[in-house]
Amino acid sequence: MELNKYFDIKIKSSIIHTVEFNQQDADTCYVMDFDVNAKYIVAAGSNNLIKVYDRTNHSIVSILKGHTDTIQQVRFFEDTDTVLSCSSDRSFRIWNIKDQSFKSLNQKGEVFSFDVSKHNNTTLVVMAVGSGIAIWDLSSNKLVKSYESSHTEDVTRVKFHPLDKSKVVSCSVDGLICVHDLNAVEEDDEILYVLNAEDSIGNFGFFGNDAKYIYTLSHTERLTTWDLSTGAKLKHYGDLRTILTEKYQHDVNYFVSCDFEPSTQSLILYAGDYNGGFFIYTVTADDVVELSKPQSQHTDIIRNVYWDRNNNEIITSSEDSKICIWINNSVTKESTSPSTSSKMKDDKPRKSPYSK
Amino acid sequence: MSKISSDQVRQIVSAIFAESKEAKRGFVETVELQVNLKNYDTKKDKRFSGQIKLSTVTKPKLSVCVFADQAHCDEATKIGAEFMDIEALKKIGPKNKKGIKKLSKKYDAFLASESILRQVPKLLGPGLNKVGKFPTLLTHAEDMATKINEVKSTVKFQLKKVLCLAVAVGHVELTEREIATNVIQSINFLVSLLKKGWQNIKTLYVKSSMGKSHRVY
Repeated sequence: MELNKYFDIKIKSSIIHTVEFNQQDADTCYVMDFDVNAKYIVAAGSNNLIKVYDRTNHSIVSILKGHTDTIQQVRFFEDTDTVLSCSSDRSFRIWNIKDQSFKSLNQKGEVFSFDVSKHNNTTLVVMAVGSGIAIWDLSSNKLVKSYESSHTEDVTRVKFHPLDKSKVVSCSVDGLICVHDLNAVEEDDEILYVLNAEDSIGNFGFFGNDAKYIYTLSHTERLTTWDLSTGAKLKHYGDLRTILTEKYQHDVNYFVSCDFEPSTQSLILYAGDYNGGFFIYTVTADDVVELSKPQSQHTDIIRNVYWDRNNNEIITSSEDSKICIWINNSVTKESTSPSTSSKMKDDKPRKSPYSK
Repeated sequence: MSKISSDQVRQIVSAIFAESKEAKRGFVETVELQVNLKNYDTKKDKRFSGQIKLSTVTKPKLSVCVFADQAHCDEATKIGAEFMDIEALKKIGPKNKKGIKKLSKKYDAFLASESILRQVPKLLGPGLNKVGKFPTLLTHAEDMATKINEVKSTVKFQLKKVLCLAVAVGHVELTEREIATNVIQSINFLVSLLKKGWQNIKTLYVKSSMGKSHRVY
């Protein structure tokens, strides 16, 4: 199939992730991060609560209470009932969604990001703690290793290489992307490559065959692609917001993240405007081309996009407190009428926030 | 869209220049843009940090050293830029903490040719990362002098836990026009990164290091 037919997406349904019902004058609850597994959606709100929803009927399965500051990231541990989260309250928590219990691993600083790797019966989690990186063994709950000298500012994202789990990649506000070698014995040999993006980096991800490339998105909304095997910069796409705004005649205010489609070897870029508009682009070696501009129900900045290929769904979360589920019609030709959902008003408190 | 006129900025810059000439200081005063935000929550809104490349050199005294391959060595000699070749870097050695520290203190910023940049972590360990001076790539397609000037005209901004931040947009030895351009350029760029645009701006001030602050917005 041609790439430009890949996205014919329509809103299927949405979940309203609200603040607690008795907080009349509370601000809108941003959906900071979410993850899905086969059965559930887990979402972290700016009210420091984590909620778990059933994917079929959107009912609340569990509410996880405990974090005392901004939750930065939330993930399911594989396809289990365990949820992992990290927060600015300097903790990494392991939750059981059945009984809402948790175990907390306390850190030296704010935990901005984490990633998990299961390898030879050991489960390691790497965390971005302040300007450092900490690696913990989850079976013993012990600190295995830490890197303190790679970055000088907050580390915004950290990930294991998807194929070579001995490599850890991190990006930071100081503009550097560092590739660490877990097998290194001496401190001086721990950093394999350093990529200098010269701009505060907020997000990165792997793409390409063997995940040999990475993309980075900066806080000033710049997209850059890199070759991890050589450490070389492939392309800096310039002032992409302005370029795309002029080219397609609608505002593009920020970029969310990228995805990789192996069948066509293409890098997909998700973007939005400040009013909830959602745009999908494909990034080629020297250009960025619009694929889709679906009708959106969001009304504010979209924070996260997850493309669930198994269910043919795209799930988005936003600062407007909504999680939207979009069906991709280009692959399955089911007719789905877009259902309505209205944002909850402060004067209409609802006990179990959901909608279909 | 802009809420401030260039005339207004020019007038303020003139006033700052007049004050600075009146009370001459023993150093070149920096001109700073101070921003106070509103309707912005550092706990949940996106991070607000990055770099702005201004159109004039704002840090003329910044010392830059190039880790140069053969072609770049020749270019650096020609334009009188400071440089080190790979042999000089090897001489320092990755285990020589003192030597690396000395090098990182001697210069404010580093550039490196592509082939050398890749080896910097091996050659010098994490020493330059530690001090926030990891080299910037200098390709053969770029002009070395231009790139050095770019480094000298790049300013950083970062919002932390409080809703105010400052950006150094120039110094009193630039022309008034240059400063005014830098101020407007910086303001427009910062506003473009804010969700509510101008509605996120509470106040804007421009001031010199020792002078009074002047409200722009």
